[in-house]
Amino acid sequence: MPRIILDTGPLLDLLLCRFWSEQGRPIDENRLICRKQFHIGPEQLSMFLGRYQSIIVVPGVFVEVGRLARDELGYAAGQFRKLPLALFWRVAIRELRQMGIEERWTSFLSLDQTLVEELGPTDTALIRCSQETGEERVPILTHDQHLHGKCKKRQISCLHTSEMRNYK
Amino acid sequence: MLAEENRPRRRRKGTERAKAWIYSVLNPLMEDLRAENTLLAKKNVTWRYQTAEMEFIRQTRELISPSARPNYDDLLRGRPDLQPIMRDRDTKVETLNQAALACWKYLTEGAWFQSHVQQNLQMWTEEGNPYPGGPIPEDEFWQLVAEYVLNDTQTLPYHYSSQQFWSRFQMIFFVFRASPPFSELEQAISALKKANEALIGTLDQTRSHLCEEYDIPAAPIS
Repeated sequence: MPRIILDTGPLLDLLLCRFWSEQGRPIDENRLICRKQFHIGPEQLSMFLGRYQSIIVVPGVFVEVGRLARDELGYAAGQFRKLPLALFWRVAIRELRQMGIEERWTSFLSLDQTLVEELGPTDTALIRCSQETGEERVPILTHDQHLHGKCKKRQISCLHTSEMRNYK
Repeated sequence: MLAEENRPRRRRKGTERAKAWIYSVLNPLMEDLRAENTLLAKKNVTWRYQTAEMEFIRQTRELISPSARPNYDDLLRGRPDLQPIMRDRDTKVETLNQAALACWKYLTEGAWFQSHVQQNLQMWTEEGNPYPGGPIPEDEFWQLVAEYVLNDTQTLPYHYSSQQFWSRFQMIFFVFRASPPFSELEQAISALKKANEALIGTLDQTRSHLCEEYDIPAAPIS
């Protein structure tokens, strides 16, 4: 059964969507990048990921998700209604468990320095993670056009979110 | 001398207090109660097997963020007419909590629900399917299934590792919802939903009165 490596953007979209839905709150899909930029709904994203038996995430992605969720929820909540990030993480951890997330650790200092300088530690760790899957060539799913381009150049298996429309 | 309309307006005494009630208590509370009713309409009581309690259906005071609770307490002191309807709603939350707990005990204290799940899980894995619980330990998986039953979970997101297992066996597990504790649960859900609707109506009226009386907007505009 195939596996996929998830970048921050798609994971954040999924978690935000589940965060609102679990509380019975309306989901404003226009706040999700997958919808706003690529016209891919969260249901479609979920269905796409459902094709994979295992979803791999590197720790840097969780750090980025936390930072972006804080900005997103703080902004959406307005002046008098700051939703605590603790609640977001409570829901997110439960979601990640149910998604069957596979965590992959890579030592920062072992990463390719040129790539870190260019892409930052998280994207570099994603590339390393894909390389380490050898012949399986587990693809990275990303919203990031720049990362997608870099991967293609280096013959790293990578899917851009907009390509999801080609999968039925 | 300045004309009447050009004089700087003096804020009526109590305006800041009324704003605090509206922006930090009434508005969030109405939003939470509406969200709660969305869940209750789906019979989702947000039960969690790890804590054996409802996650998002809470007593009114607990719905308010801790920093705004002094404003909540002040509202109930300043508007004691709100106390009975809030109390009524909280009583119904407690009734629902007890009903959900009775269902949970019904599912988990006898061995039959667990063995039912284990049998189907065994069948599933013997057919060559992967374990559907992901990182959830195998001895906890049946409790997760009990949580789905208790929350009347009709569909799971496609990306959940248990999605295919659940969509295949859910009807078998839902048979357990035909038992007496579950009819009490449904009654409690319905009663709380009505109490929430009544409370939303009252809070909405209260907000309108305060906005009129103190000439303040119903939501902050900056």
